[in-house]
Amino acid sequence: MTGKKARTVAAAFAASAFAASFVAAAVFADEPYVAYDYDWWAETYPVQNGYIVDRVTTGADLKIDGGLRNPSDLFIYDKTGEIYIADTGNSRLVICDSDFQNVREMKAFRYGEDFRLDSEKIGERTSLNRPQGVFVTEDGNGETVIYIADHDNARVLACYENGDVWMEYTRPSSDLYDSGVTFNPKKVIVDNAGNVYICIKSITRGAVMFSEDGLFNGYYGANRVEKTFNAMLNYFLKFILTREQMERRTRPVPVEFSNFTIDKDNFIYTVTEAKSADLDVLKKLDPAGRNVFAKQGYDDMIWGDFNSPYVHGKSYKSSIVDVAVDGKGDIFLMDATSGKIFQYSYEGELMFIFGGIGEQKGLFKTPNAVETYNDKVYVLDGVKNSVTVYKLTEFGILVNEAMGLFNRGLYAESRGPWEEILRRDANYYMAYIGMGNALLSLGEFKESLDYFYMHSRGGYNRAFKDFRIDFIRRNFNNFLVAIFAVIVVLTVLSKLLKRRKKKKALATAAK
Amino acid sequence: MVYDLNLPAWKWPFYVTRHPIEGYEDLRWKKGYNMKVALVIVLIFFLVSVAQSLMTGFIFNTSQTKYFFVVPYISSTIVLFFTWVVANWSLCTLFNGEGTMRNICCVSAYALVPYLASVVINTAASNVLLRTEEGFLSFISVVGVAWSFILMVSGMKAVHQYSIPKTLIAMFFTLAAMVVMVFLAVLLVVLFQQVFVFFYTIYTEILYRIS
Repeated sequence: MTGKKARTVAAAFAASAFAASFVAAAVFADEPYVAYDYDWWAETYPVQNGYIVDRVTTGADLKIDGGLRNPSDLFIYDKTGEIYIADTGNSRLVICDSDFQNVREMKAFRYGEDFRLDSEKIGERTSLNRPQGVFVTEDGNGETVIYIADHDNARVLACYENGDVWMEYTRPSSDLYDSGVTFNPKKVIVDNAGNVYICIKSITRGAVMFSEDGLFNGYYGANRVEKTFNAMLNYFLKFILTREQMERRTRPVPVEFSNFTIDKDNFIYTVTEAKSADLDVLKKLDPAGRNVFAKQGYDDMIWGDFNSPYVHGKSYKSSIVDVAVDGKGDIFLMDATSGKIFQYSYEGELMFIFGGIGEQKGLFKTPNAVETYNDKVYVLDGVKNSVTVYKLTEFGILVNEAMGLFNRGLYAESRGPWEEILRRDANYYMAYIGMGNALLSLGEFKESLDYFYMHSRGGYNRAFKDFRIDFIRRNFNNFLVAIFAVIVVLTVLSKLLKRRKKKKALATAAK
Repeated sequence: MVYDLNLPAWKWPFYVTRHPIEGYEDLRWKKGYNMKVALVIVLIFFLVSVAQSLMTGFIFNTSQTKYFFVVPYISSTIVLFFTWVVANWSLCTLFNGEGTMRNICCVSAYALVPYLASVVINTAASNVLLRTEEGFLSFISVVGVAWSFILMVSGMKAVHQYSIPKTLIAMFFTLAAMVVMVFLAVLLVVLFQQVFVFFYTIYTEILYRIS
């Protein structure tokens, strides 16, 4: 095809696609964002939407005095499905059920009978001051306990549903806690053993960890130090400079993580908001504090947007403000820069990207928190004062089903869903890897190779290993015959050559 | 063993490859230099590098681009080769080297043979090997590069009639000269662009005045 012809064809194609999009817009209520995926070269292309907007509930819709004012955290208690919103501007908690009904607030607290720290305080009243984080779990007696990161009061409150405070975590007096550092809790989580982890913005050494009884246990899960120029310079100067000189240089510190969550197996997920951070944007920490996601393969994984454009002096690099984990272990990251939510499987494979910045339903101004419950995704917007709920599309349900089978290792069973996904959207990247694995486990090596090609080098390698062994086994007889034939031909040829040489030598000698 | 050195021109590269120490002296003595053979080898150098990027197995191929573009391959083979030849000639004529441009070109091209062979073998083998067997590929490529390097040193030594230290020093400064050449070429292009822009602005200015 000549260039000109190709161009006219392409133009006609584009025109028809344009017309088709109008038709589509007339029939369906399209989402205000375009779902996309990355190909082998990390370039984007559109795919089908996995999530669409289910509902948007603003503070006014909740029918509570004051509505919501700059809320900064959202928590959904798995057991009851109740939604807890840290209503920062109104200095209270707003609680409702998963349908946004039965709305109530928690504003007044009192130190209960079993307050563990100071018996003189029992009965005293207390209130919140700009709380920024909330966490709900149950204690040993099966009673629901609420932990509130009471930011401006520099404490974390632990209370029951009726507002009786039984524990208060305040600034540790230990030497380990630097004297110049404030204690303004931003987020709080609690593990199965009752240990309390508090995320504080001014601390780069990780989360502050308390035992249930308020004993300061040190820090947990700091990020690694970025390999900046200064850090590398320090590394070399260490050999030259004296200790005194070294101490005067600024010491490189890791970027603090800004938010975290905990899953049912007690793995803690931390995210780093700072755009300067390339390392440890998302960590999955085991109880010993090791990062499960560090250095898989040769490079660290990239979380959020692959491409970080720099336009008009402003960086549009992803800035992950919150993380949520669902029952299957899927990870949801909230990117404040682009307003997008990134869904990853528990192995870190990208599944869906949805959301965006804007005014319409399904877009955000300052997304602050993301949660997931019953396959729905809840996003809290601190400026719109709203909670946006996303639900799965049919395509999304298929992908979740396939991915669930895939991650449980049921490759053969996942073949059907993957095929259906590819029928609906031949662009969906993970489907090729899923199909490759399915066909590999079914013994169809050649087809498996085709699916893995340009999608997964590791998968291709595995498939090729089986393909090669299978190929040699199948053709073993032919190989034997071929080798035998080559040996015969070579010996005959060499004998013939020798004879000819002898003849030549004789002839020259005769001359 | 006695060798019949009345070889046809196309056999000389292989003879030289098999005799890295004395081969080039024989070549010089027999005046086996042949530009046609040399140019064919350079062409093969180019083709092989393209084939390497396009045909290496998926498991080992790290240079797959979405859209293939041939110019980088031309500049990293043909242009690179002739830059080397010109730089070496301009340097060594000043330092009592006996090689002519033609001879240097032939000698350098003949020295590429083991490297090219290793690339061809690797490209083929990468389609049947697994990731765990990567060692074979790196072994072959190391052997190919080392052999070619030895041939290049030996060839430079023979063609200029240098001692080995002098050859190595000359080769090092040839690399430096290549960098200078590339720098000057880039400078030239940029400056000519400026000149072009200058004349183009004059042209547009005149156009506005007239209309």
